[in-house]
Amino acid sequence: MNWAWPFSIENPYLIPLLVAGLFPVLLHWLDRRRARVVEWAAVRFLVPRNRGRVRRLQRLEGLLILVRSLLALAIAAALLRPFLLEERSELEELQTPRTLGIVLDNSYSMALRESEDGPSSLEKAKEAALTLLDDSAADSRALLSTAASVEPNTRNRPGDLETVRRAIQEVQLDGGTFDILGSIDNALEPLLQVERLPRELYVLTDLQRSLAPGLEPDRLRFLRERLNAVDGPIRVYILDCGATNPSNHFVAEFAQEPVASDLDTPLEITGTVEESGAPLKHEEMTLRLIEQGRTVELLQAKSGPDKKARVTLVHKLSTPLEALLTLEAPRDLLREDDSRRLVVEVLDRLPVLIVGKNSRGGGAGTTRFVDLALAPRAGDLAAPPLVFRPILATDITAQDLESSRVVIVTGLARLGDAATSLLDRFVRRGGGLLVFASTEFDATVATQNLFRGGRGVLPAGLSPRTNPGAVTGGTGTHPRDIALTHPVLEIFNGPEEGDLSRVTIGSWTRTTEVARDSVTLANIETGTPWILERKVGLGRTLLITTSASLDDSDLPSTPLFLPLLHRLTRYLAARDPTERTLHVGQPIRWPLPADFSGGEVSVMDPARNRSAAEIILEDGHRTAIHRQTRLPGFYELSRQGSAGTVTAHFALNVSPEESRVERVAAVDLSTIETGLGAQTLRDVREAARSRVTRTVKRELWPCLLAFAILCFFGEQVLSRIFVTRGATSC
Amino acid sequence: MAAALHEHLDPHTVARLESLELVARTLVQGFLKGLHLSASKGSSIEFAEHRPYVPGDDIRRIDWRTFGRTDRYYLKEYDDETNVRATLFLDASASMAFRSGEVSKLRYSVCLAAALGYLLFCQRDAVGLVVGGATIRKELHPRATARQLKGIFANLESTTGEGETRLGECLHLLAERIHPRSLVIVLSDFLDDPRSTLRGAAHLRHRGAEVLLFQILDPAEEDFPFTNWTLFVDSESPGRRVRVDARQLREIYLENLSDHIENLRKGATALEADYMLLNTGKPFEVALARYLDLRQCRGKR
Repeated sequence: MNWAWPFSIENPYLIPLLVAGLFPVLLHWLDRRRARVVEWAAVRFLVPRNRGRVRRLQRLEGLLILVRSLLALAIAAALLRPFLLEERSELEELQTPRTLGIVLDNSYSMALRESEDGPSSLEKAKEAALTLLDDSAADSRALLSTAASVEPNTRNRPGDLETVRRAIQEVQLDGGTFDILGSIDNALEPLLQVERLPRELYVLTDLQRSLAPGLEPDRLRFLRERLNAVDGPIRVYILDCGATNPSNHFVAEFAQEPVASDLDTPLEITGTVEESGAPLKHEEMTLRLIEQGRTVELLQAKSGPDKKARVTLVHKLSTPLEALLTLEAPRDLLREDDSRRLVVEVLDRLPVLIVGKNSRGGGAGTTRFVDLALAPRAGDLAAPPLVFRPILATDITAQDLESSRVVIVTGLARLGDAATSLLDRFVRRGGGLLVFASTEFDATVATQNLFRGGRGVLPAGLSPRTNPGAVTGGTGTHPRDIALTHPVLEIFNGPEEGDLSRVTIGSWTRTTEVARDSVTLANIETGTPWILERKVGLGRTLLITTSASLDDSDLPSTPLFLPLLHRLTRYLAARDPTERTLHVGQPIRWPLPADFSGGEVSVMDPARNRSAAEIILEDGHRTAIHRQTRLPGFYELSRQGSAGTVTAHFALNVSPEESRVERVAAVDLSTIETGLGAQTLRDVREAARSRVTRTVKRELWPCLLAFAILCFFGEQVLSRIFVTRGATSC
Repeated sequence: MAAALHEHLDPHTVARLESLELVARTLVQGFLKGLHLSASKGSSIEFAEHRPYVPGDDIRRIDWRTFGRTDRYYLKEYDDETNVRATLFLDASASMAFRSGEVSKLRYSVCLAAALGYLLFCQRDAVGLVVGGATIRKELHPRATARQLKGIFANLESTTGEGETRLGECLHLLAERIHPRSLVIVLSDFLDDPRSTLRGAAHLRHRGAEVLLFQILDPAEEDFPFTNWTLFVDSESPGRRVRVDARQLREIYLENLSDHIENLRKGATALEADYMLLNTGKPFEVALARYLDLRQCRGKR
C-alpha cells in the first residue's frame, strides 16, 4: 500500500491553511502586545519563587498554543476537503475495470530505430500500448490520442478495448512536433467525462528535447488541476519508448537561390546535412542530387565542428515547368529524414508588364529605358527570355496581370480603385511589383492607392518631388549601406558586375513613412532609402526612389543597370519556396485560377495513392487544399484546365525539429513529472505492473474533524489546568 | 436598625464624608449605639471584684457596706484607672494609594485611624499619631486634649500615599520614641518584607507596648480578578514591570499572598501582638470591635 499526499507547494490553499494554523500564535502575540497596564503594589507576589515551576508553566502554555494551532489547522484542513490516494498493487485489482487514456507520440522522431533490424520507437510504443490493453479487465474502456490530433477532439470518446486495439495497430507516423501537454489535455477532456473509476493516462513517447519549449508553468498547473478531478484524480504515466543513446544525421536545409529558374541558366543550390545526438562514425559522406528520380550528381560532404556539412552546387535543370529535386544523405537509423525534397519552378519565359505614364513606344522617359534594358543583353542569352509589354496604369486588366509574373511601374499619373485592387491582389497571390519613383510618378497617387498607411503593397509612402532634374558632371550623392548579401544585390559583391556605390544620384523621391515590415536594401548618402523591399502575402514589392531614366541618376547609363534590372525581375518572378516545399503534417494549398470551371482536383501522394483535394474559398478565390500529408515525398495535384491537364507538385519533408534526436534534459523531465504528478517508466512490463495498481481516493476530513474534536477537548483540559488549578497541578 | 447601622459604617458611605471629624463621630457613635454602650463609661470606673484585706492594704479601700453585711474586711477592686497612651501608626507609602473601587487603602486607613483616635479621646485616653512610609514623616506625641484630636484629624487629612514602604525601620524608630506600656495601632498593607516588619513589632513589644496590627488590603489584591495579559507596574518603584498572563499566575499570586499573610499572623501571635486582616470593603465596626476587645483584654491583664 502506497500513500501519496496530494498537497504540494503549488496548492493555492496551502498559504491560507498555514495562516489558519498560525492564528492562535498570532492571537497570543497580539494579546501579549495589548496587555493592560495596572499600577500594582504587590508585584513581589507575581514572581514565583520556584523557577522550575515557571518553566513548567511556560511549557504548559506552549503546549496549549500548540494544541490550539493544531485545532485551527485541523478545522481549516477539514474544510479544504483533502484526500489521500491509496495505491494498491494487489492481484485481485487486475480484474478491476478501468478507463485508460493512451497518448501515442507518432511524430517522425518516433521512426528512429535502435539498430538496423530493430523496432522503431513507434513500434515499441504500439507494442507497449497493446500490452496495456491486454493487461486490462475485459470490460475496461480505452481512448487513443495521437500527436497529430492535438486539436481538441470532442468526438473522441473511450471505446471498447478491441476498437482501440485496432486503432493502435493502424497508427502511423505523422507530421508535426509532439506537444506532450497539448496531447494530454486533448485526451483529458473525454476522460473527465467518464464516471468509471479509476482513470489512468499513459503517454508513450521518445522524450525528445523538442518537448521542452512547451513546458510553461501555467499550462502545467492548469493540467495538474484538471488531473486532480473532484470525482477522483487521474494518474499519469510516461512510458519512455525512445532509444537510450540516439544518433542521427539528416538533411536540414535544401534550397535554391531565390530567383526564377529556367532550363538555360545554371541554378545555384545549397544543402546542409546536420548531425544530432551521439557522434556518428563516418567523417565524410556522399550526397546524391536526384532530379525527377534520377541521380544527377554525387557530392562529398564533411561535417565541421558544428556537426554540419554544407554543400553548394550549380546545376542546370533539364526538366521543363517543374523540377523535382532531392538531396539524399546516406541512410541511417532514422531513414525518413535522410533526404530532403525541393520543387523548382522552371520558366520557359518570364512575362513582364510595364506600367508607364507615356503611351506605348513613345518618348524617352523611364518606360523607354526599361524597355531597352529588358531586351536581351548583347552577347548574353539571358534566360528566361523576358516578354514585356508596356501599358498605361489606367488600362490594367485582370487578364494582363493573370498572364504576368512581374509588373514594373515606371510612371503613374492616375490609378483607379479597380486597378489598385487588381495590383494589390496580384502581389498578395505571388506576383512581383517593381516601382520606380520617377519624375513621371505621382507620389501622392501612389501613396494614397498603393501604400494606404501601410495597408497597401508599397514599402513606403512618398512625398511629391521638389528637386527634379538631371545630374550634371560629378555633382550629386551616392548609394550607401548596400545589402550586398541580398539575392538581388549580391551580384555586385565582386568586381564582375561593377560597383553600385559609384552611381551618382542627383534627385530622388523622399519617403514619408516606411512600413514596419519593409527592409531597406540601400540608402542614399543623405539617409533617404533608395531601394526598399516588402513581402506582401505570397509576393514581393521593390521600390526604388529614383527614376529608371537619366532624370535622377546616371545609373541607366552605367553597365550596372542591365544586370540590376534583370536580377530584380528574376528575383521578383521567383516563387516563395514555402509555397511548394512544406513539412509533413502541413496542409497543401494550391490556388486555383479565376477561370477554374470546377471539377475535381486530384491528389497523388508519394505512395501513389489517389484522392480528391478539398476546394475551399480563401480571400474570395478558390483554393484546393489537401490535409493528409503524413508521408514525406512529392505530392502531385492535377486539375483539368482549358488547355488540358494542369499539374503542380509539392515537396513534403520531415521537420528538422523531429530529426534532432537528443533526449529531453533531466530537469525538463523532472518539471513534467513534478508538474503533472507523473511517473516515468522505461519498461513496458513495469508499465503493466503500474497499470494494475488501483488508485483509491480517501477523504481525510472525518479524520481531521475527529482530530479537531480531540484537540478541542485537549485544549479544554489544558486550559482548566492552566487557569483554574494553575501551577499547583503542574 | 442593624441595617441602618451598617449603612452608617459602610466604608463607601463613610469615605465620601469630607470632614474627618465627622467621619470619626459617625463611626464611633454609630458603633457604640449598636453595642448599647456609653462612651462616658470608661473601663477605669468599672468594678472588678472583692478580695480579702491583707495587712498593708490601704484601709481607705475597705468596703464598709460589705463589712456591715458579712463582718469581714474586704477590699473593692476596680479596673485600672490609668489612661492609655495610644499611638496610631499610619503607613502612607505609595502602595497604600491603590484602589480598585471607590476607596483606597489609604483612605480606609485614614478613616479608621480617625475613628480610633476619636474613640480613644472619648475614653479620655491620650492618643498620638505617626505617619510613615520609607521613614517617619509626621509625628504627634500622645495627648488627651481636644486640640490634639483636631491636630490628628488635620494631619490625617493632609496625608498622601507616596514613597516606598520600610515598615520595619519605621517601627524601630517608633519603638525608641514611645512611652513604655503604650498601645501602638499599626495600619498598613504590610506589603513589605514580613521579617523586617515583625522585627520592628518585636522591638515595640520589647519596649512593653501593646501592638495591634491592622493589615488593610484592597479586594482586588485579595481576589486578583485579572484574566488577560497585564503589565503590572510596581507602584513604589515604577521601573519594575512584570508582563504576565494573569490567569496563568493567579494561583501563584494568591498562594504567595496567603503565605505572606500567614507569616504575619504567625509572627504576630508569637510576639503576642494582635493582628487583623481587613479589606477596604469591610465595615469599620469590625476593626473598632476588635480594638475594644483588645482594650478589655488589656484591662483584665
